[in-house]
Amino acid sequence: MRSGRPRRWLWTGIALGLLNVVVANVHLAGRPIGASTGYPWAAAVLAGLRDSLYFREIDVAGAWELLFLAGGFVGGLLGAFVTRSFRLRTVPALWERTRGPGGGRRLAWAFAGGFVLVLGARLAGGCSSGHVLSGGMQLAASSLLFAVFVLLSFVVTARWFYGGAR
Amino acid sequence: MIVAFLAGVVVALLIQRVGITRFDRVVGFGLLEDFEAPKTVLVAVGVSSLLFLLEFQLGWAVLNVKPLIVAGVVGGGILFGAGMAVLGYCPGTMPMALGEGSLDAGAGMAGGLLAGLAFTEAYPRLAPLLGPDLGDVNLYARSLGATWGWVSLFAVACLAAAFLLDRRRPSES
Repeated sequence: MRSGRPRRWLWTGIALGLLNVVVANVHLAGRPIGASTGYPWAAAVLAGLRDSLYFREIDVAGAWELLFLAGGFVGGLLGAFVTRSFRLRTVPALWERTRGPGGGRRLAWAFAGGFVLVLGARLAGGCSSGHVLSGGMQLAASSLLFAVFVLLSFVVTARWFYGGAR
Repeated sequence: MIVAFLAGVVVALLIQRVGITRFDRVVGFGLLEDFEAPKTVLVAVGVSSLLFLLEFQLGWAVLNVKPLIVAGVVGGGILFGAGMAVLGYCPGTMPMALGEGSLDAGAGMAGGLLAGLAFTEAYPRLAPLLGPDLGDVNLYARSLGATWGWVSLFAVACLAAAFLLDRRRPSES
């Protein structure tokens, strides 16, 4: 029966790995995929902080990653329309089961979660893309250490935050 | 720069197929009930580690290793994991999820922008506290043969972990 099972994760994983190797080619981007530097870059531009110490450090990488994020938005929209799965939604099903149906509460928690997430990524110097996917690809010590602590904190927090109500 | 945009489009279209842009799938992993996301990531890292080493040795790619700044990586990793559990998206999947219509991902992006601003403001005082900086180290060995052996071992471990997770919790639809 095993052969009949969907292996979408396998083909998607292979394609994702290939893509990152292609992007890193010196004739293309010359650097692998990353996402989280786009946030402080955009924030600094919006707030007029282009002279800040941090902005000068991330100027090149941040602009690149903001374009990656923009592409992600377009790709998400495109894919959702092609598969006719686009739907405006605020409260995910699992959230509703465990934390209730309130849309305002969900948005407030998402805002707080996004703050902590990106703050963590900037402290660590990378995220799931730059550290885990791209750092893992290069066997970077920092990225492997990051992945271990993310996993621990992720599982503990998820159990504590959603587990009690199930 | 066009490569960055196109890479974003392609990554979104790819990982959408596995549902990694969805809250339920990510938090399902946090609750150790759904392993589609880690299976996909493990395969991607395993496959790319071997291909990247080949590319690197042919001179078609340069290493881009992030520094091992111990307190920053550990503390940042702990915050990142907690944030991902509550939000259900990561920095890269937030705009993808918003594009699919998940408005909570938009709220997460607003929080992320504020965090980017706060970090930019605090950086001059914060940076000295994140160390010690052990440098841009990766696990490549001095000799070519040892590096190939080591990377092969790493790739096999990643793929084996993905298949073991799949055996324990097979994909449904």
